[in-house]
Amino acid sequence: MTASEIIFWFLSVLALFSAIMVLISRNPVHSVLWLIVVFFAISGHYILLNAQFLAIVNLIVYAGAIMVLFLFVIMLMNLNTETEPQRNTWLKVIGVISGGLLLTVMVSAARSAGELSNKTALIGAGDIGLIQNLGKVLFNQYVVPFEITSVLFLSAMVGAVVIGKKD
Amino acid sequence: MICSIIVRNKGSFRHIAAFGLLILLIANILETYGKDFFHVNTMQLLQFDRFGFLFNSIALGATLIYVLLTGKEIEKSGKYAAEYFTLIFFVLCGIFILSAYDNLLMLFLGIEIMSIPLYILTGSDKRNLKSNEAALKYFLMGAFSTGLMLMGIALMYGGTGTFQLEVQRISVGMYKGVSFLEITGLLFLMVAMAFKVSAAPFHFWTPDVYDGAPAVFTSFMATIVKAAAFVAFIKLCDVRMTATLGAIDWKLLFALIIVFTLLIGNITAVFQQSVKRMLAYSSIAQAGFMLFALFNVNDVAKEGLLLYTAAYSLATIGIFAILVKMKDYTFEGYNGLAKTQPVLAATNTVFLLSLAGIPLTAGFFAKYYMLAAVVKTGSYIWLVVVGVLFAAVSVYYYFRVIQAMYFRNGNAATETITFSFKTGLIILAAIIILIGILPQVLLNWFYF
Amino acid sequence: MILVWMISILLTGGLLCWLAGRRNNELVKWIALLTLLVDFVLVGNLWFQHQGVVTSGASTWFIDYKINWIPSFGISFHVAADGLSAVMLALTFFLGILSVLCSWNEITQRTGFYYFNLLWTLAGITGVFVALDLFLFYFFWEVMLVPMYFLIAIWGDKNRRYAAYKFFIFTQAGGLLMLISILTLYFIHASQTGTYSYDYFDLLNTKPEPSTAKWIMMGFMIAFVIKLPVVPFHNWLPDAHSEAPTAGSLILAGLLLKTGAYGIIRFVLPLFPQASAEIAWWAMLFGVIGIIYGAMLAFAQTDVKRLIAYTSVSHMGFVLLGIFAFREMAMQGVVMQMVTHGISTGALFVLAGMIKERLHTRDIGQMGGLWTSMPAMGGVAMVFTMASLGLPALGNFVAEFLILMGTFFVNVPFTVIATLGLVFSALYSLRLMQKVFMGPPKEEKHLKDFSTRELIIMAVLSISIVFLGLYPQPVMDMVKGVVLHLTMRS
Repeated sequence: MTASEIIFWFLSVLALFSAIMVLISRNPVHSVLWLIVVFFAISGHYILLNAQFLAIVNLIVYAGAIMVLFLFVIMLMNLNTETEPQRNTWLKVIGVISGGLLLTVMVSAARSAGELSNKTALIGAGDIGLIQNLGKVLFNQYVVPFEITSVLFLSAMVGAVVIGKKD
Repeated sequence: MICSIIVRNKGSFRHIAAFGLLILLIANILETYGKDFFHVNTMQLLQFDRFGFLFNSIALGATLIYVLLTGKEIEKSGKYAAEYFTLIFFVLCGIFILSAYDNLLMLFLGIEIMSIPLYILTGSDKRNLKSNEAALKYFLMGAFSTGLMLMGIALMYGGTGTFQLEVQRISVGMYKGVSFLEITGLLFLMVAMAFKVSAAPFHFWTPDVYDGAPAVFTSFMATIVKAAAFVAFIKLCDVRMTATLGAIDWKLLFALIIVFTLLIGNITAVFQQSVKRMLAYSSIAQAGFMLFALFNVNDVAKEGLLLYTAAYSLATIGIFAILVKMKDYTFEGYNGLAKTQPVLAATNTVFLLSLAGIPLTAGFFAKYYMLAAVVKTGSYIWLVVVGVLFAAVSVYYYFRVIQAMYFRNGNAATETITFSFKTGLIILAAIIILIGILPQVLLNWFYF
Repeated sequence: MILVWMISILLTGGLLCWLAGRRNNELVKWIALLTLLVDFVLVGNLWFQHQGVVTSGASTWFIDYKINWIPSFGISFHVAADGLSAVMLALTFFLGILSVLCSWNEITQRTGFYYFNLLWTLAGITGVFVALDLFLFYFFWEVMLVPMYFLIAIWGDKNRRYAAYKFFIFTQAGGLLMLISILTLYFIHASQTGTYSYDYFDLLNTKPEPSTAKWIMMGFMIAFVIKLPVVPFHNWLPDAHSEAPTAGSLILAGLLLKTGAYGIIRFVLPLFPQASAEIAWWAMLFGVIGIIYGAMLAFAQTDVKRLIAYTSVSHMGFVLLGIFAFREMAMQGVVMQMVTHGISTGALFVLAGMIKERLHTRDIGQMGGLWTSMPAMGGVAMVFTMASLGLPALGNFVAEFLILMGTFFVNVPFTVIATLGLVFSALYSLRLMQKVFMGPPKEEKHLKDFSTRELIIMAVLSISIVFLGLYPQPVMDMVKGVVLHLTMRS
């Protein structure tokens, strides 16, 4: 077992464990904190795949910006165990059943798909994830979507102004 | 060549009156296809074809009519008239991308550019709780569907190794060269698109959002935007779903969605008390009809979809333009409109008849096309029968409005109606009837 | 071209009426009347030009006019007339004139719009009787519905909205099913020959698979039997007939029902000779059921207009029976029945309308003894109830006799049962007469007898029914070619 394999397994277990903790912790603040751990673990995976840019962006955007937003919302709404509304047990059961069914179908389909078996991720190889290459692709082949994204942001900004301005 | 850029530049300054002319200008530019104004190498991300151009002209024309008819209402609906117009132009920009995309990335961007301004427009009536609720609902559900869409696109990338719409396929392997990942991705994408076109069972947002949003913006959402989503959908179906037919029975899936959509849209529409809400459900039902085009993509279906979107958009814009002027949005509010505002009532009748698909109106040919597209396949005739029966049901609720206007007594209160508004309506009705009598006028353009 | 003129005269007349209705109500009526008179003269002219042209084997069409409409689909504006069309057209304009006359005073509100709808319905019906392009046929089929819906829903009686809805949705559903059939046939034709065409003559040569043909034919049949109406689909009829204004009932009973029969004769039989022969037995069965069922229900009604409506169901049973006997004699009878039923039932509806105008009720229980105050009306009513029960020397007798004769060769039991239906018809007709006109007067009220206008209407109707009863030859000659052609094919 090489070092990278050990890291891989460690990160995977960490990611799964903390993902489960996100779901089962009673305190929403704890959930959010566990989620941050998940993101860190996944970023670790990205680094293993030699995709540094993605790893950093993942951390900055998700663990940084979005988590802060989450915490902010939770604090604003003052959520905690007591105020959590009682959910219908039936809904829970139905949710579990339908979710489980979907999972079963997906897993079995994935298992039967021949193309996926005997394939492993390339660890530490490939340079597609490097910032340099990414930049080249972004400004050559994908320059149009890159530009058009600015329209998207502009529209979102206008929208935010419209919504946010005082009447 | 990139029309979206033109729009973006001009969108920032808005002379309300000049707007119409501006759009008309662009529409004309598009009309004279073949002429390149400035060429942008899009790296095969956007593909401007005849179909897209035609749709763009329809969308522009419809928007022009929309702005001309209800421009005043847009200004009235909130403090930021300028911003509303800008947002509408952003939406249009998204629509142009959707009609030309050749790459799944562009599809995603187009859908987002189209949707985000809509979330804002839905909530533009800030003091109205319903409008706020609608905007939030729309946003959350929309965000969720976006997530699904991205997931789908990612899976498809995993399956084929490209974002391009057209994929070179090597037909070996278990599913005739179709990757399992691609199918799963397509399914996700289909769900997301079905959400955008409000096909059942992903339609739940539609009635609330259409009802909650200010009526002017509902009109825009229900017509042009929806049509654009359909165009994007049909492009997707045309290439990807047809290619993967060997692996999965899309037809059956679509047949089920169609039946479900028609059922829910029509049956629920029957029980509505508010005309606005009824129109929301009827738009679901109409979506069911438009789905016929996706069921079997061929030339008839493509032409038909264009005709349908044109007919449906024109009629719905007209109905909403009148609805906006009404003081009371319930059926009772329309009572006796024929006495107080005969012109409004008469034109509204034409629009409703068109939606119901009665001959002599554009809606009839639109429905005819849809049915023909499916009948042409030779199978799934039962689907056509179902469609037809629901078309008969739809007559019921459209005629309820006509009934209220003509046969019931009451004082339908309207806001002041200007002469130019009436003229606009009459012209719109005349267009609908013209297409209904001589569809050739429009159809002659449709050969691509 | 003359056919196009007929339709366009009606359409423009309708528009003129609507426009004139804003200013002058009197003018509107005259415009409507004039429009129909012109059309009637046109069709009369047509009739006399082509009288006695019975050439067996050769084309039975004497006018054929075709221009392209939507060439990309092979849709053309193809209208043509043969003997059958000519007879139906004559009936259309004849009843049209009467319907204008009988609504002369009845309609006081929105007169312009009323006549607009009336004329457009008639235009749709005219179109149906002459269209030879299946798409065009469907088009006209729908065009006649919408104005009729308005006629019932605006100027009808208390329950008018319900009735109008029912009428519209029933026929619309049928029509759309027919559209599917038309489309299927169109695509089958295209796949066989490679050309897209909705033309009647092109589609005649299409030979779909027998099993497919059966389904396609069912689509047509459903549309037509809803219109006719045949028993399980007759539900809309009593409501629509009884709630419609007098002219509406007149057109419904006199003309709209005939479009169903016309459709079967013109389209179902020639397009699907095989399949229609297969269902003949069932069709005849339903015809007989209709005869008996309609008659029995008619007997049970207390509402004059409803009663007459059910007699229509009964009479239309004869039509269905006759069509599917595939005998020349029966087919002649069917055409006769269509004409005479149009006249006699139309007349009864007009009478019912007149009574209602005077008594403000349609309930038989509140009538009685009207003969004393209105002897002329009683007399006329007598003539038409007798016609309806099939008294010799009146038109209906000829028709029903021919149908029964024709079917007797084909199916004896059905004929016997159908003849029993005649007995029932005597029962309900006499009951109608007795309750309304005989007996002691219910209330001492002075009721006006016929006005001059009403007298003219009734005189024209009575003369025509007697004339057809004594000398049906012109009609029979007119349709002879068509009938021969039809029965020879199948």
